[in-house]
Amino acid sequence: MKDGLKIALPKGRLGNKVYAVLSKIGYGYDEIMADSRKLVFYDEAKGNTYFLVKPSDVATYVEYGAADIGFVGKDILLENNSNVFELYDLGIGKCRICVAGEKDFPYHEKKHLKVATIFPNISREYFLASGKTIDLITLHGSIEIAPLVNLSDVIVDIVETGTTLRENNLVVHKEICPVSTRYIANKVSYTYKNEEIRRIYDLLKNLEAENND
Amino acid sequence: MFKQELFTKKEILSFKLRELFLSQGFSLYEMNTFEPYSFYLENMDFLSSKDILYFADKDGTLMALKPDITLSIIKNLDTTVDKHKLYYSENIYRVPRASEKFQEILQFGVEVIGRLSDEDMFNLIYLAAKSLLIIDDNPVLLISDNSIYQKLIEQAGLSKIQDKIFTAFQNKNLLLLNEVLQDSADEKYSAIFKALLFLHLPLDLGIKELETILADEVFLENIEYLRNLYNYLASRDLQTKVFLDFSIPEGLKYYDKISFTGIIPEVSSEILKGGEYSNLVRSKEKSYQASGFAIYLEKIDFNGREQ
Repeated sequence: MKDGLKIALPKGRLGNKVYAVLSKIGYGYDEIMADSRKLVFYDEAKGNTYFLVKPSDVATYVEYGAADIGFVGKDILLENNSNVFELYDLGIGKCRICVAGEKDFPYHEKKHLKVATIFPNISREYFLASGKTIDLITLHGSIEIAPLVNLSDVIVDIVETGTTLRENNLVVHKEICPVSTRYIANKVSYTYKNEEIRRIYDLLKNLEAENND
Repeated sequence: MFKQELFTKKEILSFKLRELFLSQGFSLYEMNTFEPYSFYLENMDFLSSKDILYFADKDGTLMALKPDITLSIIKNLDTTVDKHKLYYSENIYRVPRASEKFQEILQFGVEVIGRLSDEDMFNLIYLAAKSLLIIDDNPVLLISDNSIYQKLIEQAGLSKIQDKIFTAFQNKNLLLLNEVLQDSADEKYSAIFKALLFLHLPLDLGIKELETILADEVFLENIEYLRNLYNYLASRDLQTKVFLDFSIPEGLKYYDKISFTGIIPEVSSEILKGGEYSNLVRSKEKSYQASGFAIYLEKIDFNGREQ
């Protein structure tokens, strides 16, 4: 088995977009997109191994060296405070992390908030910096319900188009930061597999330049 | 003599490191007492982990279970001595990044403190590189010069955003660096910071590259120092690969000149970390300089290794 790159890819919608980019720069492997339950793929010709993992776990695989490189949303890097090299912004999967709540909720007047979120660390840091105290309620999905059933005053969540918020009568009160997909590398792999990791960086940059022409 | 089979792989590695340190004239430092908790609180900037285990001593004084050894060595230095060459092998108590709980960790460290020459500093880096070779046969030592950052940040008037610049360097994050420098730095300094961000070359080639990036004469001293370091290491037939890389994961407050990290292929984060910390030791004795490193043997999976 060749000692190629170990690449962590996010499963699902983001994974499909990332895979399309990888294919364009010569790092595609057709079997990945075949409809199967396989999670590990070895590209014998190139020596690279691909892992399909939960998007929120990609940075963990890379940080602890199970993967050399990966593709992950900036929200995950911020939430986990991941200790990885963040080499490139692919500019896909663009969205925002926002504070949202019911339209008539007096967000700016409140000094203390009940916050429901899937991003406890980002929320804690943001509200600490903005001078508001919070009670933090960590949820794992469908958090738009929280303000509607009085579980929380507001939510901190990913907002892409805003449709889900609108359909649940919620509005954005404050944008915390923009989010997009990043090309990351393990800090030790960056030295031992520098040529390959830098090659992908250069190819991604060239692709962006071609797209802008 | 005891048979080798009586010892664990970790113990054998420990003995080999001790043998190396002794052969280079370093003597064992033993820390048999505890320091007050307040001592570590006052020096929090110099600790890599902010979590400290504490207990009440018999007289009620709040004491700490050792989170670090270097601070205690400095505190208890005999400043009438010209040069201290010390190594230690002590248990420390920290919460590792991947853990939610305190762990007892065996830490090896080496310190050279006193009225030192450049050669003393270079010898310590050589010792770090040799230590890595005892641990693995394909190690890399990554070297940075924090005083170059400091000079650049001062010259460009960027001290207010230096933490953000450092974060960008720690993560090789060009996007963040661009954001941070966009409204704060002129083109000249932006270009220099960006060129340094991805610098990752064998030491000799890295120094040449650095000469073209840092044309200002204020950096001549740094480049000369790095060149002398390279010559020192090159003259000793060192098998460890040495790279120049400015993304060393350490704060500017502790290491004020050269800092370095050691890596090996089987461990996914640094296994050795060190550098020059003369500013810290000068608070104890103005004529002193210092450099040291620690080795994190707990990161090695000894079960997977051959005896």
